[in-house]
Amino acid sequence: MSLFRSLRALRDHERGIQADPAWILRTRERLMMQVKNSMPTPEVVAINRRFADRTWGRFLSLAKGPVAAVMAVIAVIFGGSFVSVRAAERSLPGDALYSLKLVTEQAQLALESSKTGKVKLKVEFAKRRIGELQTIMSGTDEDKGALAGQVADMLKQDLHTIKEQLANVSNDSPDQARELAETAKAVDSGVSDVAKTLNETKNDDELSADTKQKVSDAEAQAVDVGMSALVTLIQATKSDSAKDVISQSDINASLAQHVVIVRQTVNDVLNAASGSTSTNALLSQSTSSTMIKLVAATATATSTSGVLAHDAATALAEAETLMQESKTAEAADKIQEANTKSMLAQTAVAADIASASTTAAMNASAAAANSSLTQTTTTNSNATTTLK
Amino acid sequence: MSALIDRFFLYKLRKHQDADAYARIYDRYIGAIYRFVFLKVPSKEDAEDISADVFLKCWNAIQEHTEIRDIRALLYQIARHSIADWYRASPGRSERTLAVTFSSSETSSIEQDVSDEGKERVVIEARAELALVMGKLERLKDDYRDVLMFRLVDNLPFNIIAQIMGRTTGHVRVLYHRAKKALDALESS
Repeated sequence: MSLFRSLRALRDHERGIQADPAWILRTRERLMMQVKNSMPTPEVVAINRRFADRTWGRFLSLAKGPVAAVMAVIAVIFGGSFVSVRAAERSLPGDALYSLKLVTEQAQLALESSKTGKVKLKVEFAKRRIGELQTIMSGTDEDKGALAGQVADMLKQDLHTIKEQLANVSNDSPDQARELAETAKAVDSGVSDVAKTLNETKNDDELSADTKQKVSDAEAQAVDVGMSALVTLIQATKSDSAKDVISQSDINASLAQHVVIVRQTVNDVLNAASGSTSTNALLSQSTSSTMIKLVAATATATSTSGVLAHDAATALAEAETLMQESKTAEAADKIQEANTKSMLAQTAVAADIASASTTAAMNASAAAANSSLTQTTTTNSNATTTLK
Repeated sequence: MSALIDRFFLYKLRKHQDADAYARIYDRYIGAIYRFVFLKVPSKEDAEDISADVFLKCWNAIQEHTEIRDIRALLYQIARHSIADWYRASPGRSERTLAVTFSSSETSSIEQDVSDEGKERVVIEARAELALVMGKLERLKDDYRDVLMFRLVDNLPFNIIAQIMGRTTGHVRVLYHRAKKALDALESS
């Protein structure tokens, strides 16, 4: 018999080996007793349950990885844009993120539903532009003149939109005087700041004539918008519901501010005029006939910028007298007149100085003056209509 | 199927602290474990003690939340170690017991009363046979001897043997076939 077989046979023999059934039963009983004794107490069961919970926890920890990954992706998509927009808010013209800033502003505008809200936002953005302009001017960038001109251009456009929107609001909702008054007030105060800063910027000697022209265009626009806001404001105060929003003193303060702004312009013009008397005298003879025609056609003044400035100053004085008599509407009217004249005077001075240098340059700035003049005239008539 | 039933009892035991489930496991395997131990220790009493001890140890293992893949494998594993421990603990017994190898002298102690003929004769025959075979198996490697014993005497499936011996199933198969070849070579020599 082979070993293999004998081993196999062992198995068969083994089959015959049976444990004593009585012993099996006895052992079983004893085992069960021991098992029941060592059975876990309720506390241990609770711990065991927690142990079982930990298996569930283990599943969660397995799922943690993918969840974290998804969260990270979401954070990059949403939080990332948030962070970059934040960064963009501090950017200046010429920066890589500046266009993003503009887009964000447009998005904000699009998300704003009320018309008054839109106007307020626009004013807010105009203030931002001013901030940028100031930062650029205080910086040492080489082409800061070009950048400033860019900002001034944008500002001009923005201000134009504000004006249009303000007119829209006052036309569309004559009933909501209170809201209108609030908006007009916001525009008025915002734009006054803008005009002041622009005026300061304009006198910076570092800027080229072209940029200066742009800045002063923007300033004219700002003053104009300020005027129309003021007019709207005065109009709104006539309604009772807006009385508590705007007090008489508010309007007076605003009027005074406008007077200050216009006076500044007038003074500038006077300085320029007296500073370049010779040029002026020369100009009075040599100014092109179109120039004179333009000036004659739009304003009461007939010849030089000096006369215009003087007229403006007189109008301002009248306006102040009217203000003291608390005839706000008339005062506003006078300030407007003064403003128009001072602007014309300023344009004339700019044109004069330009024409003094070359004839070609003169032609160009005459064209610029032309457009500016026309614009001022239109805005003027607009404002007067609103006033009426 | 049998493994599935084991798993079911084990689950009941773990989840519901069901002592009866352990009783069922005991019923299923006490006979096999007893036989396994009985052939390897000299006396019936020793076999009974060790077998009872095996089930108690197994219960403790379950309570300690050790991972149990197969309760049968665990029982055989415990039995194997218990036998080794038993030999180690008693002075005067053979030292060569660590790998559960049995010298002829140990497994064939026939100095029992032969009064209870029928059953006892089977046992005596089995032991005599084992002693005969073991005498030759002595010359085999420990691993070969164990795998032959598990497979041919205890009639265990390969996967259980693998778990008892701490090997992979494939490794155990290979071992078994090499052991058979070695057995043939032993015979022809």
